[in-house]
Amino acid sequence: MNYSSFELNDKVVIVTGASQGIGRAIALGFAQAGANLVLAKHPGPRMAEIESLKAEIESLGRRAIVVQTDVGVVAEVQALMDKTVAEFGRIDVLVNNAGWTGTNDALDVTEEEFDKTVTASLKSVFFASQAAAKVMLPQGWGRIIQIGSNFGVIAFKKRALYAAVKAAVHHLAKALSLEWAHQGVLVNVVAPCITETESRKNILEKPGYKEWATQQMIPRGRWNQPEDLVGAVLFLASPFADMIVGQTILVDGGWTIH
Amino acid sequence: MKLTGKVALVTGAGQGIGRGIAEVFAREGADVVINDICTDERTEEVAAAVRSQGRRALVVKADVSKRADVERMFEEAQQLGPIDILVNNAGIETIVPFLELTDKQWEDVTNVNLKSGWMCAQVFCRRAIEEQRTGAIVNIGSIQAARVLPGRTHYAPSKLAVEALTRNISAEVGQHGIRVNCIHPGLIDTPMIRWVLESPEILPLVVAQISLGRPGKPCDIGHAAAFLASDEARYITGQSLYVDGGWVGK
Repeated sequence: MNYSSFELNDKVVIVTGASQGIGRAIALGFAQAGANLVLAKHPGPRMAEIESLKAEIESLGRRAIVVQTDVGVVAEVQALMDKTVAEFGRIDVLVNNAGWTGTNDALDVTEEEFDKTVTASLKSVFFASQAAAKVMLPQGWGRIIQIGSNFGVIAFKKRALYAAVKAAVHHLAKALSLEWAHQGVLVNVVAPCITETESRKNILEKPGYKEWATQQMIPRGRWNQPEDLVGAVLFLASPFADMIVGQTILVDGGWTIH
Repeated sequence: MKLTGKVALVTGAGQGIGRGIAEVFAREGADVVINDICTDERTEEVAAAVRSQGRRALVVKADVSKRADVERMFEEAQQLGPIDILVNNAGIETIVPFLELTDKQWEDVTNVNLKSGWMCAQVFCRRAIEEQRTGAIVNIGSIQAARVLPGRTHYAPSKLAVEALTRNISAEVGQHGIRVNCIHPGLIDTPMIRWVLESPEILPLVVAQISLGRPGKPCDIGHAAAFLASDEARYITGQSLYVDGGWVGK
């Protein structure tokens, strides 16, 4: 896919959770569109993967740095923004992609699982948006794109907590836009359905699941790929989306309309 | 957002948002069939703008609220080749208090804003499926699908219905590789609402509802339509996107 028409040349873009799946595809898409990347990654495994992504971006002639960040810790989020500004002088786009969720029935959700999910998938988004906006507002321009979920719009078994958190992320985009849009900082959401990534393998490989979803739930008739989201994210980050504020674009092949 | 090599048909393209869509599509590489209910120097201007981008343009006069006109429009549009993208933009707006609204006023608005989109989509999809071609439809709704303005008890339901039409058509044609989405524009600087933009009393009240604090331009809708019609949106269908500067969330 040629993303050069999105006019994102030389933009400074932070992508959290960039080492695999959706985050990786988005980071590569921005690089193909001409942007420079800050790849935020949770401390821990997959260092080789993030370094190979960095190399791939550099082979496209773009700059990339890796910043190990636990997005659930406000001080680390602040350090991510500081390092970005120190390296590139500005922040144009923040993509809040990192997240984590438990997958228990509501009756079995523990306090620990609740706190971990809310911290990784909501607190992280709020404070990363806040810290980025403090840089973007004085610039007079910024785009924050949250990765939501179709489960933030519809309910799904074993996802009570996740669905509530994602609905909160969707609504947060409206609320933050109200405070920041008139100063040039727009917040929107791209909400995928379950996407064919490494971390969702255990769900997709359950017997009958894929057939049920792609035949009955998704009019497009095929599974969501990480690359399917890239266009929507780049579009929202581009100057062509200047009047789109606080919106959630579902990229779900039509699942959620049923 | 590139639409290189595609042929698009835009209804109501003689002015305002429709014109903005036609111009952006041409810039992104599409040939454009320009439909309007009357063809005159305005439609010729739009055609000239499309051609100035090095693209082909064809003006087709048709009242898209009439079945025979719709069928003939698609027949004539073939001159540019098979249609890949349909934008159902044609619409009319009148302002009449609910208690005074007549059957005729209800029917006129409903036929042009809703029935036309249904008929055009049907003819477009029948042809595409028969010829085993994929395609994309973009329907133009309105902020009034979600927000009240006075005297619109006919207009607002017709535009909210466009959203349901979008969803339901998308569900039936998805398997054929046809995507259907909807854009709800907010306050856009067009001739249709020039009276609002020029009113010192009304304009501040409306702008106060918009997070960005300003009206949009026809090209803002054009850009969103180009994205939704492009291959970059290949997994997006059945959706309605507000392009309103932050009105519906406020």
